Amino acid sequence: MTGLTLSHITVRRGPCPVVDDLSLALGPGECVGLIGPNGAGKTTLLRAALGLLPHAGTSSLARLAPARRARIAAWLPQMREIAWPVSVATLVALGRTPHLAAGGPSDADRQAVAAALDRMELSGFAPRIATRLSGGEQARVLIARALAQEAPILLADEPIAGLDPAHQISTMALFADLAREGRLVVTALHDLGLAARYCTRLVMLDRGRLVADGAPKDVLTEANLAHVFGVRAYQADTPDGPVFQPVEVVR
Amino acid sequence: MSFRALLWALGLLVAALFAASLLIGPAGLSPSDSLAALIAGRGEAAALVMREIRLPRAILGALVGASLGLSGAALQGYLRNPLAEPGLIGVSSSAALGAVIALQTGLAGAFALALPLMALAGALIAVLILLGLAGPRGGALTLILAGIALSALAGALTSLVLNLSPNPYAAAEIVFWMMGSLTDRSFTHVWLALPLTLIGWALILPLVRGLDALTLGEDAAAALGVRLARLRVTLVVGVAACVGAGVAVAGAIGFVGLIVPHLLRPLVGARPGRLLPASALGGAALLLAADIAVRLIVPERDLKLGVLTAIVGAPLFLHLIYKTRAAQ
Repeated sequence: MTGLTLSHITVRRGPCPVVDDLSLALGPGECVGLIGPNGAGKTTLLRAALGLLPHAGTSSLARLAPARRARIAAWLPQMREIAWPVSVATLVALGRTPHLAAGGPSDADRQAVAAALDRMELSGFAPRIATRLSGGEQARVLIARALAQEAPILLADEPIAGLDPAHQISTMALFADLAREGRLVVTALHDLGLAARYCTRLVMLDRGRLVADGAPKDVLTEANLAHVFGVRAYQADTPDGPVFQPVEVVR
Repeated sequence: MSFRALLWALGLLVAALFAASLLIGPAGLSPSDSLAALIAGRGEAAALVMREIRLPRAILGALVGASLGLSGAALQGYLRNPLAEPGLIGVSSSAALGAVIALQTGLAGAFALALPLMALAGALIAVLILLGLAGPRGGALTLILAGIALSALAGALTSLVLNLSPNPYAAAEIVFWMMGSLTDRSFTHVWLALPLTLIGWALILPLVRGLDALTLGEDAAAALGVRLARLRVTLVVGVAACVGAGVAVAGAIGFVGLIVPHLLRPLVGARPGRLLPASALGGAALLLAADIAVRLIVPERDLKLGVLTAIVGAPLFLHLIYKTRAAQ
Protein backbone atom coordinates (compact mmCIF):
# COMPACT_ATOMS: atom_id res chain seq x y z
CA MET A 1 0.00 0.00 0.00
CA THR A 2 1.01 3.56 -0.64
CA GLY A 3 1.39 6.68 1.44
CA LEU A 4 1.72 10.34 0.65
CA THR A 5 4.83 12.38 1.35
CA LEU A 6 4.82 16.15 1.05
CA SER A 7 8.00 18.11 1.60
CA HIS A 8 8.24 21.87 1.75
CA ILE A 9 5.08 22.44 -0.31
CA THR A 10 4.51 26.13 -0.98
CA VAL A 11 1.71 27.49 -3.16
CA ARG A 12 1.53 31.19 -3.89
CA ARG A 13 -1.39 33.24 -5.14
CA GLY A 14 0.32 36.41 -6.27
CA PRO A 15 3.02 37.14 -3.70
CA CYS A 16 1.11 35.65 -0.72
CA PRO A 17 1.71 32.02 0.15
CA VAL A 18 -1.61 30.16 0.48
CA VAL A 19 0.26 27.07 1.65
CA ASP A 20 3.56 27.90 3.29
CA ASP A 21 6.46 25.43 3.42
CA LEU A 22 4.39 22.49 4.58
CA SER A 23 5.82 19.02 5.08
CA LEU A 24 3.82 15.90 5.99
CA ALA A 25 4.27 12.15 5.79
CA LEU A 26 1.02 10.20 5.73
CA GLY A 27 0.99 6.43 5.65
CA PRO A 28 -1.43 3.68 4.62
CA GLY A 29 -4.03 2.80 7.23
CA GLU A 30 -4.51 6.37 8.39
CA CYS A 31 -7.75 8.32 8.24
CA VAL A 32 -6.47 11.87 8.29
CA GLY A 33 -8.71 14.85 8.93
CA LEU A 34 -7.45 18.12 7.50
CA ILE A 35 -8.94 20.89 9.64
CA GLY A 36 -8.65 24.64 9.73
CA PRO A 37 -10.82 27.73 9.39
CA ASN A 38 -12.03 29.02 5.99
CA GLY A 39 -9.09 30.11 3.89
CA ALA A 40 -6.54 28.08 5.87
CA GLY A 41 -5.33 26.41 2.65
CA LYS A 42 -6.91 22.96 2.99
CA THR A 43 -8.20 22.72 -0.59
CA THR A 44 -5.05 24.30 -1.98
CA LEU A 45 -2.88 21.80 -0.11
CA LEU A 46 -4.87 18.82 -1.40
CA ARG A 47 -4.82 20.09 -4.98
CA ALA A 48 -1.10 20.80 -4.83
CA ALA A 49 -0.48 17.33 -3.37
CA LEU A 50 -2.20 15.87 -6.46
CA GLY A 51 -0.22 18.10 -8.79
CA LEU A 52 -3.32 19.97 -9.96
CA LEU A 53 -1.74 23.29 -8.92
CA PRO A 54 1.70 24.70 -9.61
CA HIS A 55 3.70 24.50 -6.39
CA ALA A 56 7.19 24.60 -4.96
CA GLY A 57 8.44 21.62 -3.00
CA THR A 58 7.69 17.99 -3.79
CA SER A 59 4.71 15.72 -3.44
CA SER A 60 5.07 11.99 -3.98
CA LEU A 61 1.80 12.02 -5.97
CA ALA A 62 2.41 15.10 -8.09
CA ARG A 63 5.63 13.57 -9.38
CA LEU A 64 3.78 10.69 -11.05
CA ALA A 65 2.51 10.73 -14.62
CA PRO A 66 -1.22 11.64 -14.62
CA ALA A 67 -2.44 8.22 -15.79
CA ARG A 68 -0.41 6.42 -13.14
CA ARG A 69 -1.33 8.88 -10.40
CA ALA A 70 -5.02 8.33 -11.19
CA ARG A 71 -4.65 4.66 -10.25
CA ILE A 72 -3.02 5.54 -6.94
CA ALA A 73 -5.09 8.49 -5.75
CA ALA A 74 -8.77 9.32 -6.10
CA TRP A 75 -9.81 12.95 -5.69
CA LEU A 76 -13.19 14.18 -4.58
CA PRO A 77 -13.35 17.94 -5.22
CA GLN A 78 -15.42 20.25 -3.08
CA MET A 79 -17.28 21.51 -6.14
CA ARG A 80 -19.87 18.85 -6.90
CA GLU A 81 -20.20 19.03 -10.62
CA ILE A 82 -22.42 16.79 -12.73
CA ALA A 83 -22.57 18.46 -16.13
CA TRP A 84 -24.93 16.17 -18.02
CA PRO A 85 -28.07 14.21 -17.09
CA VAL A 86 -26.28 10.82 -17.11
CA SER A 87 -27.42 7.82 -15.07
CA VAL A 88 -25.95 7.21 -11.62
CA ALA A 89 -24.31 4.00 -12.89
CA THR A 90 -22.66 5.89 -15.76
CA LEU A 91 -21.41 8.60 -13.44
CA VAL A 92 -19.94 6.16 -10.94
CA ALA A 93 -18.33 4.25 -13.82
CA LEU A 94 -16.35 7.40 -14.68
CA GLY A 95 -14.26 6.49 -11.65
CA ARG A 96 -12.98 3.57 -13.71
CA THR A 97 -11.47 5.89 -16.33
CA PRO A 98 -7.87 5.21 -15.21
CA HIS A 99 -8.43 1.44 -15.38
CA LEU A 100 -10.39 1.15 -18.64
CA ALA A 101 -8.93 -1.08 -21.31
CA ALA A 102 -9.18 0.01 -24.95
CA GLY A 103 -12.15 -2.27 -25.54
CA GLY A 104 -14.35 -0.76 -22.84
CA PRO A 105 -15.40 -1.77 -19.34
CA SER A 106 -14.35 -5.23 -18.12
CA ASP A 107 -16.02 -7.43 -15.50
CA ALA A 108 -13.67 -6.00 -12.89
CA ASP A 109 -14.86 -2.50 -13.81
CA ARG A 110 -18.51 -3.49 -13.50
CA GLN A 111 -17.85 -5.18 -10.15
CA ALA A 112 -16.04 -2.11 -8.84
CA VAL A 113 -18.98 0.11 -9.81
CA ALA A 114 -21.50 -2.25 -8.19
CA ALA A 115 -19.40 -2.49 -5.02
CA ALA A 116 -19.03 1.30 -4.81
CA LEU A 117 -22.79 1.80 -5.22
CA ASP A 118 -23.39 -0.84 -2.58
CA ARG A 119 -21.01 0.76 -0.08
CA MET A 120 -22.74 4.13 -0.45
CA GLU A 121 -26.18 2.45 -0.12
CA LEU A 122 -27.03 3.55 -3.65
CA SER A 123 -27.69 0.21 -5.36
CA GLY A 124 -31.29 1.09 -6.14
CA PHE A 125 -30.16 4.40 -7.65
CA ALA A 126 -28.13 2.93 -10.54
CA PRO A 127 -30.60 3.73 -13.36
CA ARG A 128 -31.69 7.11 -11.94
CA ILE A 129 -30.61 10.34 -13.64
CA ALA A 130 -27.87 11.85 -11.46
CA THR A 131 -28.77 15.50 -12.05
CA ARG A 132 -32.32 14.92 -10.83
CA LEU A 133 -31.22 13.67 -7.39
CA SER A 134 -31.11 15.92 -4.32
CA GLY A 135 -27.86 17.67 -3.44
CA GLY A 136 -27.01 15.20 -0.68
CA GLU A 137 -27.75 12.22 -2.90
CA GLN A 138 -25.54 13.69 -5.63
CA ALA A 139 -22.76 14.08 -3.06
CA ARG A 140 -23.05 10.39 -2.19
CA VAL A 141 -23.05 9.40 -5.86
CA LEU A 142 -19.83 11.38 -6.32
CA ILE A 143 -18.27 9.65 -3.30
CA ALA A 144 -19.25 6.32 -4.90
CA ARG A 145 -17.51 7.52 -8.06
CA ALA A 146 -14.30 8.07 -6.09
CA LEU A 147 -14.65 4.65 -4.40
CA ALA A 148 -15.08 2.96 -7.80
CA GLN A 149 -11.61 4.24 -8.68
CA GLU A 150 -10.28 1.69 -6.13
CA ALA A 151 -7.20 3.76 -5.47
CA PRO A 152 -5.08 3.13 -2.36
CA ILE A 153 -5.27 6.84 -1.54
CA LEU A 154 -8.47 8.88 -1.29
CA LEU A 155 -8.29 12.66 -1.01
CA ALA A 156 -11.64 14.28 -0.29
CA ASP A 157 -12.52 17.94 0.12
CA GLU A 158 -15.42 18.43 2.51
CA PRO A 159 -17.14 15.25 1.36
CA ILE A 160 -19.83 15.26 4.05
CA ALA A 161 -20.93 18.89 3.78
CA GLY A 162 -24.65 18.93 2.99
CA LEU A 163 -25.32 15.30 3.94
CA ASP A 164 -28.00 14.38 6.46
CA PRO A 165 -26.71 13.24 9.91
CA ALA A 166 -27.12 9.53 9.16
CA HIS A 167 -25.11 9.79 5.94
CA GLN A 168 -22.50 12.04 7.55
CA ILE A 169 -21.91 9.34 10.15
CA SER A 170 -22.02 6.44 7.69
CA THR A 171 -19.65 8.21 5.29
CA MET A 172 -17.13 8.97 8.03
CA ALA A 173 -17.44 5.38 9.27
CA LEU A 174 -16.82 4.22 5.71
CA PHE A 175 -13.68 6.35 5.48
CA ALA A 176 -12.48 4.87 8.78
CA ASP A 177 -13.17 1.39 7.38
CA LEU A 178 -11.23 2.18 4.21
CA ALA A 179 -8.29 3.20 6.39
CA ARG A 180 -8.56 -0.04 8.38
CA GLU A 181 -8.44 -1.92 5.07
CA GLY A 182 -5.02 -0.35 4.55
CA ARG A 183 -5.85 2.68 2.45
CA LEU A 184 -4.89 6.24 3.19
CA VAL A 185 -7.85 8.61 3.48
CA VAL A 186 -7.24 12.37 3.73
CA THR A 187 -10.32 14.49 4.09
CA ALA A 188 -10.80 18.19 4.66
CA LEU A 189 -13.50 18.65 7.28
CA HIS A 190 -15.35 21.37 9.12
CA ASP A 191 -17.23 19.10 11.49
CA LEU A 192 -14.69 18.80 14.31
CA GLY A 193 -17.00 16.46 16.23
CA LEU A 194 -16.97 13.86 13.46
CA ALA A 195 -13.27 14.50 12.92
CA ALA A 196 -12.58 13.74 16.59
CA ARG A 197 -14.61 10.53 16.45
CA TYR A 198 -13.55 8.97 13.16
CA CYS A 199 -10.11 10.28 12.18
CA THR A 200 -7.00 8.51 13.42
CA ARG A 201 -4.99 11.65 12.93
CA LEU A 202 -5.74 15.34 12.53
CA VAL A 203 -3.69 17.91 10.67
CA MET A 204 -4.54 21.49 11.66
CA LEU A 205 -3.79 24.33 9.26
CA ASP A 206 -3.92 28.05 9.84
CA ARG A 207 -3.12 30.62 7.15
CA GLY A 208 -1.25 28.05 5.10
CA ARG A 209 0.92 26.81 7.94
CA LEU A 210 0.90 23.54 9.81
CA VAL A 211 -0.18 24.29 13.40
CA ALA A 212 -0.67 20.84 14.86
CA ASP A 213 -0.45 17.25 13.71
CA GLY A 214 -1.28 14.14 15.71
CA ALA A 215 -4.05 12.19 17.44
CA PRO A 216 -7.36 14.09 17.65
CA LYS A 217 -7.15 14.70 21.38
CA ASP A 218 -3.63 16.12 21.04
CA VAL A 219 -4.63 18.46 18.22
CA LEU A 220 -8.01 19.68 19.51
CA THR A 221 -6.52 21.35 22.57
CA GLU A 222 -8.05 24.38 24.19
CA ALA A 223 -5.12 26.54 23.12
CA ASN A 224 -5.19 25.38 19.48
CA LEU A 225 -8.95 25.82 19.23
CA ALA A 226 -8.81 29.32 20.66
CA HIS A 227 -5.82 30.35 18.60
CA VAL A 228 -6.81 28.85 15.23
CA PHE A 229 -10.61 28.67 15.24
CA GLY A 230 -11.41 31.25 17.92
CA VAL A 231 -13.79 28.90 19.68
CA ARG A 232 -14.07 27.10 23.00
CA ALA A 233 -15.41 23.54 22.97
CA TYR A 234 -16.96 21.02 25.28
CA GLN A 235 -15.04 17.73 25.14
CA ALA A 236 -15.72 14.49 26.97
CA ASP A 237 -14.89 10.83 26.74
CA THR A 238 -18.17 8.95 26.89
CA PRO A 239 -19.12 5.27 26.53
CA ASP A 240 -20.05 6.23 22.94
CA GLY A 241 -16.56 7.50 22.27
CA PRO A 242 -15.20 11.07 22.31
CA VAL A 243 -17.76 13.86 22.14
CA PHE A 244 -16.68 17.24 20.89
CA GLN A 245 -18.93 20.25 20.59
CA PRO A 246 -17.80 23.86 20.00
CA VAL A 247 -19.82 26.01 22.39
CA GLU A 248 -18.73 29.63 22.11
CA VAL A 249 -16.67 32.12 20.13
CA VAL A 250 -13.73 33.43 22.14
CA ARG A 251 -12.48 36.33 20.01
CA MET B 1 -32.08 1.26 -28.06
CA SER B 2 -28.49 0.23 -27.48
CA PHE B 3 -25.67 2.51 -28.56
CA ARG B 4 -24.60 0.10 -31.29
CA ALA B 5 -28.13 -0.11 -32.68
CA LEU B 6 -28.35 3.69 -32.64
CA LEU B 7 -25.13 4.02 -34.65
CA TRP B 8 -26.36 1.42 -37.14
CA ALA B 9 -29.70 3.20 -37.50
CA LEU B 10 -28.01 6.56 -38.03
CA GLY B 11 -25.54 4.98 -40.47
CA LEU B 12 -28.38 3.49 -42.51
CA LEU B 13 -30.17 6.83 -42.45
CA VAL B 14 -27.07 8.56 -43.81
CA ALA B 15 -26.74 5.89 -46.53
CA ALA B 16 -30.38 6.26 -47.53
CA LEU B 17 -30.19 10.07 -47.63
CA PHE B 18 -26.92 9.89 -49.57
CA ALA B 19 -28.65 7.71 -52.16
CA ALA B 20 -31.65 10.04 -52.24
CA SER B 21 -29.34 13.01 -52.71
CA LEU B 22 -27.84 11.26 -55.75
CA LEU B 23 -31.26 10.57 -57.24
CA ILE B 24 -32.88 13.98 -56.83
CA GLY B 25 -32.09 16.91 -59.07
CA PRO B 26 -33.27 19.22 -61.84
CA ALA B 27 -31.95 16.92 -64.59
CA GLY B 28 -34.98 14.66 -64.04
CA LEU B 29 -33.21 11.35 -64.48
CA SER B 30 -35.03 8.22 -63.37
CA PRO B 31 -33.45 6.38 -60.43
CA SER B 32 -32.38 3.41 -62.55
CA ASP B 33 -30.90 5.65 -65.26
CA SER B 34 -29.09 7.66 -62.58
CA LEU B 35 -27.50 4.60 -61.02
CA ALA B 36 -26.61 3.09 -64.40
CA ALA B 37 -25.00 6.38 -65.44
CA LEU B 38 -23.14 6.65 -62.16
CA ILE B 39 -21.71 3.16 -62.27
CA ALA B 40 -21.41 2.26 -65.94
CA GLY B 41 -21.76 5.57 -67.81
CA ARG B 42 -19.19 6.63 -70.42
CA GLY B 43 -19.13 10.38 -70.69
CA GLU B 44 -22.74 10.94 -71.76
CA ALA B 45 -24.70 13.80 -70.16
CA ALA B 46 -26.32 11.61 -67.50
CA ALA B 47 -22.98 10.24 -66.38
CA LEU B 48 -21.54 13.76 -66.20
CA VAL B 49 -24.49 14.95 -64.12
CA MET B 50 -24.15 12.05 -61.75
CA ARG B 51 -20.37 12.04 -61.39
CA GLU B 52 -19.49 15.71 -61.64
CA ILE B 53 -22.51 17.33 -59.98
CA ARG B 54 -24.57 15.05 -57.80
CA LEU B 55 -21.89 12.75 -56.40
CA PRO B 56 -19.59 15.54 -55.13
CA ARG B 57 -22.61 17.38 -53.77
CA ALA B 58 -23.76 14.35 -51.79
CA ILE B 59 -20.22 13.64 -50.55
CA LEU B 60 -19.77 17.24 -49.42
CA GLY B 61 -23.16 17.18 -47.72
CA ALA B 62 -22.14 14.15 -45.70
CA LEU B 63 -18.64 15.49 -44.94
CA VAL B 64 -19.67 18.98 -43.90
CA GLY B 65 -22.71 17.76 -41.96
CA ALA B 66 -20.63 15.22 -40.05
CA SER B 67 -18.01 17.88 -39.26
CA LEU B 68 -20.63 20.27 -37.93
CA GLY B 69 -22.38 17.61 -35.84
CA LEU B 70 -19.10 16.32 -34.44
CA SER B 71 -17.72 19.79 -33.67
CA GLY B 72 -20.94 20.85 -31.98
CA ALA B 73 -20.97 17.74 -29.78
CA ALA B 74 -17.27 18.11 -28.92
CA LEU B 75 -17.52 21.83 -28.06
CA GLN B 76 -20.61 21.21 -25.95
CA GLY B 77 -18.88 18.36 -24.13
CA TYR B 78 -15.75 20.36 -23.44
CA LEU B 79 -17.54 23.54 -22.35
CA ARG B 80 -20.25 21.51 -20.59
CA ASN B 81 -22.73 23.81 -22.22
CA PRO B 82 -25.52 22.72 -24.60
CA LEU B 83 -25.49 26.10 -26.35
CA ALA B 84 -22.02 25.76 -27.85
CA GLU B 85 -21.99 25.42 -31.64
CA PRO B 86 -19.40 26.40 -34.24
CA GLY B 87 -21.88 28.61 -36.15
CA LEU B 88 -23.42 30.27 -33.16
CA ILE B 89 -20.22 31.14 -31.36
CA GLY B 90 -18.54 32.78 -34.32
CA VAL B 91 -16.24 29.99 -35.49
CA SER B 92 -17.99 29.60 -38.84
CA SER B 93 -18.20 33.34 -39.51
CA SER B 94 -14.52 33.74 -38.64
CA ALA B 95 -13.69 30.90 -41.03
CA ALA B 96 -15.82 32.65 -43.64
CA LEU B 97 -13.86 35.86 -43.05
CA GLY B 98 -10.64 33.98 -43.70
CA ALA B 99 -12.12 32.48 -46.87
CA VAL B 100 -13.43 35.85 -48.10
CA ILE B 101 -10.01 37.42 -47.60
CA ALA B 102 -8.49 34.55 -49.59
CA LEU B 103 -11.05 35.07 -52.39
CA GLN B 104 -10.79 38.87 -52.48
CA THR B 105 -7.03 39.11 -52.41
CA GLY B 106 -6.74 36.59 -55.20
CA LEU B 107 -4.79 34.25 -52.96
CA ALA B 108 -7.36 31.55 -53.61
CA GLY B 109 -6.84 31.88 -57.34
CA ALA B 110 -3.06 31.76 -57.07
CA PHE B 111 -2.91 28.78 -54.77
CA ALA B 112 -5.79 26.33 -54.45
CA LEU B 113 -5.19 25.44 -50.82
CA ALA B 114 -5.19 29.10 -49.78
CA LEU B 115 -8.98 29.06 -49.42
CA PRO B 116 -9.27 26.20 -46.92
CA LEU B 117 -6.10 27.22 -45.11
CA MET B 118 -7.29 30.81 -44.65
CA ALA B 119 -10.67 29.49 -43.47
CA LEU B 120 -8.83 27.20 -41.07
CA ALA B 121 -6.79 30.13 -39.75
CA GLY B 122 -9.98 32.15 -39.23
CA ALA B 123 -11.63 29.28 -37.37
CA LEU B 124 -8.52 28.64 -35.26
CA ILE B 125 -8.27 32.26 -34.14
CA ALA B 126 -11.98 32.27 -33.29
CA VAL B 127 -11.83 29.12 -31.16
CA LEU B 128 -8.73 30.38 -29.34
CA ILE B 129 -10.36 33.73 -28.55
CA LEU B 130 -13.50 31.93 -27.36
CA LEU B 131 -11.67 29.56 -25.06
CA GLY B 132 -9.66 32.48 -23.73
CA LEU B 133 -12.72 34.64 -23.09
CA ALA B 134 -15.38 32.16 -22.08
CA GLY B 135 -13.25 29.25 -20.95
CA PRO B 136 -14.74 26.10 -19.57
CA ARG B 137 -16.05 27.79 -16.43
CA GLY B 138 -17.30 30.93 -18.11
CA GLY B 139 -20.85 29.64 -18.19
CA ALA B 140 -23.45 29.87 -20.91
CA LEU B 141 -23.80 33.63 -20.82
CA THR B 142 -20.10 34.44 -21.24
CA LEU B 143 -19.81 31.95 -24.05
CA ILE B 144 -22.79 33.26 -25.98
CA LEU B 145 -21.75 36.89 -25.42
CA ALA B 146 -18.22 36.13 -26.57
CA GLY B 147 -19.69 34.30 -29.56
CA ILE B 148 -21.98 37.21 -30.47
CA ALA B 149 -19.10 39.66 -30.24
CA LEU B 150 -16.91 37.44 -32.37
CA SER B 151 -19.61 36.84 -34.97
CA ALA B 152 -20.28 40.56 -35.14
CA LEU B 153 -16.58 41.36 -35.54
CA ALA B 154 -16.05 38.69 -38.20
CA GLY B 155 -19.22 39.87 -39.98
CA ALA B 156 -18.10 43.50 -39.84
CA LEU B 157 -14.65 42.67 -41.19
CA THR B 158 -16.24 40.57 -43.94
CA SER B 159 -18.48 43.53 -44.81
CA LEU B 160 -15.42 45.75 -44.87
CA VAL B 161 -13.69 43.47 -47.35
CA LEU B 162 -16.83 43.43 -49.54
CA ASN B 163 -17.29 47.17 -49.09
CA LEU B 164 -13.82 47.87 -50.42
CA SER B 165 -14.15 45.29 -53.15
CA PRO B 166 -13.63 46.95 -56.56
CA ASN B 167 -15.84 44.43 -58.34
CA PRO B 168 -19.56 44.46 -57.39
CA TYR B 169 -20.26 41.17 -59.18
CA ALA B 170 -17.54 39.35 -57.29
CA ALA B 171 -18.92 40.87 -54.08
CA ALA B 172 -22.45 39.63 -54.83
CA GLU B 173 -21.06 36.20 -55.60
CA ILE B 174 -19.27 36.10 -52.26
CA VAL B 175 -22.40 37.19 -50.43
CA PHE B 176 -24.28 34.27 -51.98
CA TRP B 177 -21.41 31.93 -51.21
CA MET B 178 -21.48 32.99 -47.58
CA MET B 179 -25.10 31.98 -47.20
CA GLY B 180 -23.93 28.42 -47.34
CA SER B 181 -24.71 26.05 -50.16
CA LEU B 182 -23.65 22.81 -51.82
CA THR B 183 -24.96 23.74 -55.27
CA ASP B 184 -22.57 23.27 -58.21
CA ARG B 185 -19.71 21.91 -56.18
CA SER B 186 -17.23 19.65 -57.94
CA PHE B 187 -14.68 17.07 -56.95
CA THR B 188 -12.15 19.90 -56.74
CA HIS B 189 -14.07 21.05 -53.68
CA VAL B 190 -14.17 17.54 -52.29
CA TRP B 191 -10.40 17.14 -52.59
CA LEU B 192 -9.93 20.61 -51.13
CA ALA B 193 -12.00 19.86 -48.03
CA LEU B 194 -11.32 16.19 -47.50
CA PRO B 195 -7.79 16.21 -46.01
CA LEU B 196 -8.45 18.89 -43.39
CA THR B 197 -11.84 17.38 -42.59
CA LEU B 198 -10.33 13.96 -41.94
CA ILE B 199 -7.55 15.49 -39.84
CA GLY B 200 -10.18 17.29 -37.78
CA TRP B 201 -12.20 14.12 -37.23
CA ALA B 202 -9.10 12.13 -36.36
CA LEU B 203 -8.23 14.70 -33.71
CA ILE B 204 -11.70 14.97 -32.18
CA LEU B 205 -12.95 11.37 -32.18
CA PRO B 206 -10.32 9.99 -29.74
CA LEU B 207 -11.34 12.56 -27.11
CA VAL B 208 -14.22 10.33 -25.97
CA ARG B 209 -12.90 9.42 -22.52
CA GLY B 210 -11.59 12.85 -21.71
CA LEU B 211 -14.93 14.46 -22.56
CA ASP B 212 -16.77 11.80 -20.54
CA ALA B 213 -14.55 12.47 -17.52
CA LEU B 214 -15.19 16.21 -17.86
CA THR B 215 -18.78 15.49 -16.81
CA LEU B 216 -17.32 15.61 -13.28
CA GLY B 217 -15.65 18.98 -13.83
CA GLU B 218 -12.09 19.90 -14.68
CA ASP B 219 -10.48 19.12 -11.36
CA ALA B 220 -11.96 15.66 -11.09
CA ALA B 221 -11.19 14.93 -14.75
CA ALA B 222 -7.56 15.99 -14.29
CA ALA B 223 -7.32 13.76 -11.21
CA LEU B 224 -8.69 10.88 -13.31
CA GLY B 225 -5.62 11.21 -15.52
CA VAL B 226 -7.06 13.40 -18.29
CA ARG B 227 -4.46 15.82 -19.64
CA LEU B 228 -6.65 18.88 -19.98
CA ALA B 229 -4.16 21.16 -21.71
CA ARG B 230 -3.55 18.59 -24.39
CA LEU B 231 -7.27 17.87 -24.75
CA ARG B 232 -7.99 21.57 -25.19
CA VAL B 233 -5.39 22.05 -27.93
CA THR B 234 -6.49 18.88 -29.74
CA LEU B 235 -10.11 19.97 -29.61
CA VAL B 236 -9.39 23.51 -30.82
CA VAL B 237 -7.28 22.38 -33.75
CA GLY B 238 -9.70 19.57 -34.60
CA VAL B 239 -12.78 21.81 -34.62
CA ALA B 240 -10.97 24.54 -36.53
CA ALA B 241 -9.72 22.05 -39.14
CA CYS B 242 -13.02 20.40 -39.96
CA VAL B 243 -15.20 23.50 -39.61
CA GLY B 244 -12.67 25.58 -41.53
CA ALA B 245 -12.60 23.00 -44.33
CA GLY B 246 -16.40 22.84 -44.39
CA VAL B 247 -16.81 26.62 -44.54
CA ALA B 248 -14.16 26.87 -47.25
CA VAL B 249 -16.21 24.76 -49.64
CA ALA B 250 -19.80 25.22 -48.46
CA GLY B 251 -19.92 28.61 -46.77
CA ALA B 252 -21.22 29.11 -43.26
CA ILE B 253 -24.00 26.64 -42.43
CA GLY B 254 -25.38 27.31 -38.99
CA PHE B 255 -27.32 25.45 -36.32
CA VAL B 256 -26.53 21.89 -37.47
CA GLY B 257 -23.97 21.58 -34.68
CA LEU B 258 -26.53 22.87 -32.20
CA ILE B 259 -29.59 20.83 -33.20
CA VAL B 260 -27.99 17.45 -33.78
CA PRO B 261 -26.32 16.95 -30.36
CA HIS B 262 -29.45 18.33 -28.71
CA LEU B 263 -31.67 15.79 -30.46
CA LEU B 264 -29.33 12.84 -29.95
CA ARG B 265 -28.23 13.50 -26.35
CA PRO B 266 -31.19 11.65 -24.76
CA LEU B 267 -30.56 8.66 -27.06
CA VAL B 268 -26.96 8.18 -25.84
CA GLY B 269 -27.78 8.55 -22.14
CA ALA B 270 -26.32 12.08 -22.24
CA ARG B 271 -22.78 10.66 -22.37
CA PRO B 272 -20.60 13.25 -24.10
CA GLY B 273 -18.23 10.63 -25.52
CA ARG B 274 -20.93 8.55 -27.13
CA LEU B 275 -22.49 11.71 -28.49
CA LEU B 276 -19.44 12.28 -30.74
CA PRO B 277 -19.92 9.48 -33.29
CA ALA B 278 -23.70 9.71 -33.02
CA SER B 279 -23.65 13.45 -33.73
CA ALA B 280 -21.25 13.02 -36.63
CA LEU B 281 -23.67 10.59 -38.30
CA GLY B 282 -26.67 12.68 -37.28
CA GLY B 283 -25.07 15.83 -38.70
CA ALA B 284 -24.38 14.09 -42.00
CA ALA B 285 -27.99 12.88 -42.14
CA LEU B 286 -29.42 16.29 -41.27
CA LEU B 287 -27.33 18.19 -43.81
CA LEU B 288 -28.06 15.67 -46.57
CA ALA B 289 -31.77 15.93 -45.75
CA ALA B 290 -31.64 19.74 -45.73
CA ASP B 291 -29.77 19.74 -49.04
CA ILE B 292 -32.46 17.50 -50.52
CA ALA B 293 -35.12 19.80 -49.08
CA VAL B 294 -33.71 22.93 -50.74
CA ARG B 295 -33.93 21.12 -54.07
CA LEU B 296 -37.51 20.01 -53.47
CA ILE B 297 -39.02 23.14 -51.85
CA VAL B 298 -38.24 25.62 -54.62
CA PRO B 299 -36.57 23.65 -57.41
CA GLU B 300 -36.51 26.62 -59.83
CA ARG B 301 -34.81 29.01 -57.37
CA ASP B 302 -31.48 28.36 -55.73
CA LEU B 303 -32.58 28.30 -52.07
CA LYS B 304 -29.41 28.43 -49.97
CA LEU B 305 -28.76 25.58 -47.58
CA GLY B 306 -27.49 27.86 -44.80
CA VAL B 307 -30.66 29.94 -45.06
CA LEU B 308 -32.82 26.87 -44.57
CA THR B 309 -30.82 25.51 -41.60
CA ALA B 310 -30.95 28.93 -39.94
CA ILE B 311 -34.72 29.22 -40.46
CA VAL B 312 -35.22 25.81 -38.88
CA GLY B 313 -32.46 26.15 -36.29
CA ALA B 314 -32.97 29.61 -34.87
CA PRO B 315 -36.40 28.86 -33.37
CA LEU B 316 -34.92 25.75 -31.79
CA PHE B 317 -32.14 27.86 -30.32
CA LEU B 318 -34.75 30.19 -28.83
CA HIS B 319 -36.49 27.15 -27.39
CA LEU B 320 -33.20 25.95 -25.84
CA ILE B 321 -32.54 29.34 -24.26
CA TYR B 322 -36.07 29.31 -22.87
CA LYS B 323 -35.51 25.86 -21.38
CA THR B 324 -32.11 26.85 -19.94
CA ARG B 325 -33.72 29.87 -18.33
CA ALA B 326 -36.53 27.76 -16.90
CA ALA B 327 -34.00 25.33 -15.41
CA GLN B 328 -32.14 28.08 -13.54
